[in-house]
Amino acid sequence: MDTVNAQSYPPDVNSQYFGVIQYDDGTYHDTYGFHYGFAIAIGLDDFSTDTTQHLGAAHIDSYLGWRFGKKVSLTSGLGFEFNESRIAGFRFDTQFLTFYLGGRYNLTNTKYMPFVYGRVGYGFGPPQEGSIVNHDDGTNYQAGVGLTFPSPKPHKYFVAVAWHHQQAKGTESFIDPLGNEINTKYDILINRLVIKFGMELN
Amino acid sequence: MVFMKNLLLGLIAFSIIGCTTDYGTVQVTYQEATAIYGDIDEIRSQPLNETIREINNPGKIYLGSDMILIGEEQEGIHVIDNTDPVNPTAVNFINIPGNREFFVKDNKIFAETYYDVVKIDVSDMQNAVLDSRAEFVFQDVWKNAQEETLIGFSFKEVTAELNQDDDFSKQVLAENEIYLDYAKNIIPKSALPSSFAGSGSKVSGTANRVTYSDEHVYIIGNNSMYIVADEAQGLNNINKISNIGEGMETIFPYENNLYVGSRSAVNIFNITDPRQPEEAYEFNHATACDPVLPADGVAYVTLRTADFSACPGNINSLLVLDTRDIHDVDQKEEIAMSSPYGMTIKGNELYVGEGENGLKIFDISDKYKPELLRTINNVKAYDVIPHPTIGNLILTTGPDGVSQYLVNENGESLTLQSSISY
Repeated sequence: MDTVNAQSYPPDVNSQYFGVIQYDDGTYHDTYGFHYGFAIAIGLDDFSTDTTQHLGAAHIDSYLGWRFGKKVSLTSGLGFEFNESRIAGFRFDTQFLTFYLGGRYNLTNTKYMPFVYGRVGYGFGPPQEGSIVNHDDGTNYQAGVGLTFPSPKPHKYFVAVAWHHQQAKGTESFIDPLGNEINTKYDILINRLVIKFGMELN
Repeated sequence: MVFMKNLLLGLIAFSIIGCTTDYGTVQVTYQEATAIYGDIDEIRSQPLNETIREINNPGKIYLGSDMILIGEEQEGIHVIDNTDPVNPTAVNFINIPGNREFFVKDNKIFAETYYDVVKIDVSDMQNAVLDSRAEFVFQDVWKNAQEETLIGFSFKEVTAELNQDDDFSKQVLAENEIYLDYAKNIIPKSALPSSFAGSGSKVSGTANRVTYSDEHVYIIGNNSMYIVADEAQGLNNINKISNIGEGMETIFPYENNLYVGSRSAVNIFNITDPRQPEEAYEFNHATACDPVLPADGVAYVTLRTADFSACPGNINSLLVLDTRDIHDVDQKEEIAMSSPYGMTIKGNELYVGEGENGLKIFDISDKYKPELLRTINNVKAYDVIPHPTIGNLILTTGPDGVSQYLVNENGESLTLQSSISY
């Protein structure tokens, strides 16, 4: 029996409980108002034992958001995202500073609260000078499913699995075994499956 | 409602699992290598001396007391009589098929030629004599189905448009069999200008892949070092040390050590036992093209990078390393440069070729603290080689040829003596 007190207290009884789903073990979820959070994500490929084939992904982001109720919240965030990509056997490195807008929908209001989310962003590429990677800006979007864990404290943890898309256009040079240069220009859409760990606070 | 949620979850899961491949296109510009096969015995028996010819594809350059040697990539060496530096005159062409790298010691040329290393006596500039040959130093012979020997590659620039399904990179990047050949010794054309200079004992530039020390010839490949003993009975192929580093580009002997410059490090090998070099120290630096010039307790390293080159980036500097203890090398200085290439030391002065950006001269009275004396902008210098006997004569190599200059007394200007254009 997870949700003994699945209904939030009416606002006219005790306003401090407005926008809360509380459980009988003292844990609760916030369901209304301002919140902020941090998350890190790594590509599921990073767990591959075949290190020659796997493509790395590492993202960190922070965000501000507003919960409109038990179901819906909107966020805007800032992230640093590093993704490796492979096209036609060539491996490219990308790095973006991303601004995004996103939304989350809680599928149920159970104690362990599953959700789906999506976000749309614009990634700024690295400065052209002094960077080891050389690519333009590009749009990105991310969609995933996750689970928020209840807590008796204001911070809540969540885990999610997401599909990350990033558009990237750039150039990169390689050296072949005979010592000759190979120059490439790429125009790619990175598809990465990431696992995300995060913490939200009010 | 529950069904809809489960359906939604299922669809999301499906889309996630099914779509993790990257999509897109890559335009690739590369040098397509085509293997060339031939009869190696026939090549070995070709005559050594040929009539003089124009310099078309220059490579290594050596400045001796009375001659200049200019490599003709893959073909041989031009011999130029430099008895009068104002009027250098071509007198011979030494036919060394497949040659790119050579080193000169006491009028003997040590040169690679396909699979072999040869020792050629040029005491008589007009009549070079083959002294000896070490066969198959670099690699066992590679043959095609017709039993012809692989003797090299021809290159053609190709641009191709690829999509995510092509695995084209394996053809141009992966080390498949055809590339596991002597060709790993080729200097990256894009890393060093074809006019990059330097060969010789005390008067070499700093961009060598072949060197000589204590009656042994050392040749570096991309990640291996080959050792040939120069014995009384001839050259003797004695050792190959594999996997001693990646991307090795230059080798320079000093006292009992070999200084090997790679794109990301300077490796110092102790050659107290000349047949078995032992790595004494590795000094790591930013990835760059980097000749290294050791001297007494110090080593100067130029780091050069440029966009769209084999050494991408924006680091251009001169490093000063304290090498008094080769097991604990310490960086003393890093001096910003424009595009540093080869170097040489002349008395208390360090000359650094800056390519299109001229020549910089540093005072190294305090060898660990070079002070810039002057920049000479009206020369294009990739490398600088001092004349071994005429104290105030230097040779510079540039994109259009080699030039000899007299350095005036106060060292503030150079007076052109002669140029050899190509």
